[in-house]
Amino acid sequence: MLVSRHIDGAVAARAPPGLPNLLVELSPFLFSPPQLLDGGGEVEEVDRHDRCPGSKVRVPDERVELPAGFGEAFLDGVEPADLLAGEAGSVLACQAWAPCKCQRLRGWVGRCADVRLHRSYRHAQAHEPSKWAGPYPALSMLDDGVIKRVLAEALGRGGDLAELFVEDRRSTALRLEDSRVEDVSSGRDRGAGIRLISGERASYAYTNLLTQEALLDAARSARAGLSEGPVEARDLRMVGASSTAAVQVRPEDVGAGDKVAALVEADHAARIKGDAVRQVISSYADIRQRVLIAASDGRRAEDDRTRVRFAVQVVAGRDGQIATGFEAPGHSGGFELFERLPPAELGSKAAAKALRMLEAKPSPAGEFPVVLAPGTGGVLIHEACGHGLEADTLVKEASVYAKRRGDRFGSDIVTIVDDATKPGSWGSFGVDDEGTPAQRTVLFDKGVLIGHLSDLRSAGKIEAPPTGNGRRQSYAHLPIVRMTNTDLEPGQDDPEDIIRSIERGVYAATFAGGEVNPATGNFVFGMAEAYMIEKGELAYPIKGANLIGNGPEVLGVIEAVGSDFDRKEGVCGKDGQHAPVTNGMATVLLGRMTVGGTEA
Amino acid sequence: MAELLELARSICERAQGDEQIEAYMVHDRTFQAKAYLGDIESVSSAEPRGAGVRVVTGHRTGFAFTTDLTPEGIDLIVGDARSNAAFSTPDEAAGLAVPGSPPPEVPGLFDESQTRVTPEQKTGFVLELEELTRAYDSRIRAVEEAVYADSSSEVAIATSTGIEGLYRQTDSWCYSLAIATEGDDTEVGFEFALGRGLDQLDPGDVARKACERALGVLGATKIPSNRMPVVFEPYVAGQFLGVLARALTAEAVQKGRSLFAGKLGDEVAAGLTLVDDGRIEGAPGSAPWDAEGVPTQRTEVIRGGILDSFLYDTMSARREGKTSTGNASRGGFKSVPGPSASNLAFESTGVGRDEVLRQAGRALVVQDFHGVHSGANPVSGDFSVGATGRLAEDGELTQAVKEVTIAAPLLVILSRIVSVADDRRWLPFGGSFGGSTTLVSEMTVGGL
Repeated sequence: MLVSRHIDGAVAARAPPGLPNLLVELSPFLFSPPQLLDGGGEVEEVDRHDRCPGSKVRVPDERVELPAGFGEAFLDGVEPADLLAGEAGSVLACQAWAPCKCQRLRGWVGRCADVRLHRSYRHAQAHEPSKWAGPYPALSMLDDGVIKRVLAEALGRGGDLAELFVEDRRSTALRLEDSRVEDVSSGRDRGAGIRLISGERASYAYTNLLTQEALLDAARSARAGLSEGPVEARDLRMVGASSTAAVQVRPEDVGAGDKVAALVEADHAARIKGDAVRQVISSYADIRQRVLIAASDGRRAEDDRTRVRFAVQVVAGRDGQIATGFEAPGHSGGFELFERLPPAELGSKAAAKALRMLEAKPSPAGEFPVVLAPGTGGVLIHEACGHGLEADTLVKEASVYAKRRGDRFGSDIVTIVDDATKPGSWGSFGVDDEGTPAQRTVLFDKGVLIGHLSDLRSAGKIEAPPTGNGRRQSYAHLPIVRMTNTDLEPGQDDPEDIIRSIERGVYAATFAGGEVNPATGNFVFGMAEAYMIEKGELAYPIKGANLIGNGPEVLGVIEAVGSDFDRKEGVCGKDGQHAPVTNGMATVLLGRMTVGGTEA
Repeated sequence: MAELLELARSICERAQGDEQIEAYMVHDRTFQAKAYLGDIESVSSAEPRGAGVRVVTGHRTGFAFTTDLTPEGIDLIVGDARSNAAFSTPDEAAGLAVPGSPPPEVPGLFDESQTRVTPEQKTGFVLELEELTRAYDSRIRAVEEAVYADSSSEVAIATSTGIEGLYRQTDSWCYSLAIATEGDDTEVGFEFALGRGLDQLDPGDVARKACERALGVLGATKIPSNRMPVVFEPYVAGQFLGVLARALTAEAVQKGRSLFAGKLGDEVAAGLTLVDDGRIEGAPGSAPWDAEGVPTQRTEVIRGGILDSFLYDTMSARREGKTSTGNASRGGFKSVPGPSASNLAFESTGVGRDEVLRQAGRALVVQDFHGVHSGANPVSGDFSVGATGRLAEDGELTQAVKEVTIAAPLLVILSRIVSVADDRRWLPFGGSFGGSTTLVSEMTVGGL
């Protein structure tokens, strides 16, 4: 059942098994940047893989340098220093950790010592790879004989297409709050779903067991209700996947200690920003999902997807005011994410946002010009344009964009693209969950609607080739049309000039999320960080601001597009399923928008 | 059925030395059908099951889950949970729940007759729901989604500290999403029903309400920005409670992310009483025991306007030397437990819906919130969301309104709730919340 607890407890859900979460099921679309992975950030989708040698630590050959700002607190503890001084290559018992005298890190430092020793996975791998890598059994990809028997069974009473989706998912999630590692979680999830399409109907059945018997049972469940003669499946041939970025440091080869270290670094960096920092929640999640897709039309494809995401949320408080700030980057790839984005920087940035927002005044309500900061504003494109161009809503004419291909919605500066082939991007993959290779699709070309996104079924209905946007949350779900990495392409304008051109308006620095109704195009976005623009300058931060409007109309009010393109990661919810996506955009000027706030 | 508990026990028997082990197991049988334009669009059925294991050792907690319930699969995750524990920070409050008073009988969780409903009856139901929605009014252009779903679940828990439990429950629900068009204007309305069995769902009622919600806001316009009374329909009152609930757990307070921190004993609402009760017959969040095996109970969170208690699970209770209020929850076997509300609702102030509308004078009656997940912040207390609804003038609904925002700090909204009608319904918005027609004396409406 689709119930998730956000990392900030945002959708803390008490839901006995069986109870639907209508927030997820019924809200047409949700986009939640703070949510870590597709299952809800916390544990739903997670797995672990740490093969740290338990209570023993091997001291690497070189002394490990502590990051700046970390040392003093660290050295307050006695035992950790002893640990560090340990002879290279020796094995010390970790039980000796002392509680830290540093109030900021509290009981943490002992653990940090351990962490620092583990810190360099390169060392670890160089010195004792087996202990760190651990057993990671290959997905026992079913042999073609079993696959054919299962597809044949599914088509035993007729049908147009039978498809098998096999998935093996491992992940880990760690969460630090109150400077303590609270949840260290892992999961092993494996299963297969069988889809049978017959005319307008898709039947789906899935199982956790990957035995031939269980799969044949599922195939029989999927064909229930049909009563025609058997249909023959075509021979399987491998579909070539779009090339994906190589994973440089496999998360399962990284000790949990290193993952904890990343959390601690972010926590510390946030806390040293000032006494007003009241709480820091940092979360780490990685997932490795391997899938196999085989269908009676001969498609056979495999994909091996590794994603890592890291989130820091900071709560700051002063004089009765409370404000929050967050950073939540992720990518398709491994632990090397932190080489590009050091955890300390993320913690520091999130804290700075929260502290700035402490000074915020209530947002005015009314109509204003709105400047969207690079990256974050992409959610607007995702909600206002992307969802309405998903072919499943188009064919139901449940989209404001239905039958409007060729129409102009914006000026020449508006070009919007969905692209699952961006190497290393959070929303990328090799093949989609129906085995169609990832591709790049232009939705709006210089303001004119020219494209759409589709999966196999909706593509069939509109008689166009599928665009490789058929995705599913897991083997328990039917594939549906989803976005991947959706960008408003950068323009020529100087971002500074854009702000300078505004006499009085709102600068949306970070959106907390958004929601759209594709049938009407109406959307709402909450701003987590925003500023009033007065006389061409960011005058002061505002809180409680949101942006409300209509998708097709907003494209028409895009008056300037900057050159400073950036992309933000998020988790998109649709039909109760989550998918990792990114949204990209440069600094953008919207001529006139309704802003909601508390000051009438 | 007893097998699940037997399996849970066998997991706990793997405890070594002074470590504690908890096994939480779920075995579901699920079904879902969608209808579109008179045809079944999709049917999905499955029998998912799995185990989530917590190991507590030396005040450290680790968790792992699996869908592989073979002895080897279980061995693997017990090992995983054990090594995960080694990386958590020791916490004096960590530890599994211990047996206490026996759990209450919660009648009506399991509807035996539901197990005899055939797939054909279920697909027939959803076809009827779709047809009734489509045919309701000539302005209903399409039914974006008509869905029927159900599940029959067994939930078992066993701990090495001596807790054991097993219960069964059935759930059935359906919803319809109607699209109404008139001229250039398109509006969407949805409605759902939730029960323990298909026979408790009324497709005609769901279809009618979905359509009325869409038709009622056709021709809606913005209104000028203003401060005015706001009436929450039960549907949005439930969502509002969902936001408050996030700040009402002891964990949120202890960790400095609740707007109610430090307000225990303060007057936070004008005379209202807010109750969490995990044992209400017919309420969706009811169960004999919570996600840690602790019996559910009734807790007055706000009593007569005074903030009286937070909601506790075992760990947050130990931290304060208290006992759990039976409010541990988890989203299935893949999640660690944490505290949250069970069935949370305001007691009615003893007025009917019509009376509330009359009291409101000239007010905005909100039928739908938009962007609650981003516009409501239970940490800072900011609340600013999009709204669709109608204007009310002295008890009569008049002009339809859309694309406006409503805003006020959460605590201010709470203090300005002057009436809660007696028309409560349970809403599953990431939990179970009782929404009633609710009058807030003033909010900022942002429009033209």
